[in-house]
Amino acid sequence: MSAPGEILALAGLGGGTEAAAAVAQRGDIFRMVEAAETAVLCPAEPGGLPIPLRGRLAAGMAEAHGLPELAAHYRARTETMGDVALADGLEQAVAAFAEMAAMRPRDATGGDIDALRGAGLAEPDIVRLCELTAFVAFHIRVVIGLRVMEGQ
Amino acid sequence: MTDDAVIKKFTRRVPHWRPRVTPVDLGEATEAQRDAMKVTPSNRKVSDYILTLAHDPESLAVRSPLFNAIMYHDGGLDRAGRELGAVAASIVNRCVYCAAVHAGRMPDDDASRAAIDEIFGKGEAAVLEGRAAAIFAAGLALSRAPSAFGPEHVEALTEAGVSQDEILDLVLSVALFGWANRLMHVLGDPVRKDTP
Repeated sequence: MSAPGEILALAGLGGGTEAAAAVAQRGDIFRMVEAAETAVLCPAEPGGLPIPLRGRLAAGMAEAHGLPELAAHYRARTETMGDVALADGLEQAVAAFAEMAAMRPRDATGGDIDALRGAGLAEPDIVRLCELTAFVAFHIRVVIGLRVMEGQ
Repeated sequence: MTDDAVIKKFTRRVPHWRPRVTPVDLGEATEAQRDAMKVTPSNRKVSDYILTLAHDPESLAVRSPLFNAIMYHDGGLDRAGRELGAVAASIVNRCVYCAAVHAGRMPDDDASRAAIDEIFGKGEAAVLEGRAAAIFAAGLALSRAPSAFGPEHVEALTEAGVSQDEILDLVLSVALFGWANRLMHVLGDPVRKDTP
């Protein structure tokens, strides 16, 4: 599917709508959005954040915004990739951080980063986790924006 | 290091950004990291922000061109509208650094200066006029978590003369700052320039 087609499908919109016409004019941007999605969700070097974990975190953020189709898309792209369980405390720390980044980013403090470090997450993985949650926050808002533009 | 140095209030003066994780050491950067940072023999000055993001070179490499395409492509919503969307997101997410930078990229005219004074003084309660009011309100609503963007915002934008294509550009710039704020405000602190 073309990049404009993909974002419209994620927003549950067909072609022939006004939103679809606007998206078609920004095809280069939506191709880059897809590349950015791959970089955070299914990167060549996932580091200490296994791809299925990335999918679960992204899906949780989409669900918190009432977007089950987007959540299903993230899961479908990631769940067949090899999973590696993180240490118990670490998986909880990562999930708590993702919830903060999704819902209360304004309250972020150095303590949030220290908690990840204290739970054993390496510094490059802290940046990877931030990029993942930040991209998904963007993607969610593009999908919501398109749906609202189209009156859905 | 005292936290007294951290700037909490919105300001036009662009702060220094102090990372909360150790930036990549430029001398030890991998080829992928150097490519993502666009390090060349003639461009060897790299900010701590970019050196921090270089821990994830795959994301950094794709985000920079996307950022430029959304904020600075020709046509569509004007510069003031896109930057106002960026500022609205930065107010909701309390990213003092992003707000300062993008307030500074607003056009240098009386209307823009007055709008930024109002926004930095009153935050989300700022009262703007006409088209700017519709753009700012839409930007605040879309930035909330969960988002509060609704048909009333599209209606107000349309009444203010903002076309569908321009509304999409606004959605993209506001959403982009939902992304940028979650890097800048989460991975570091805005501090006074003279802070080590």
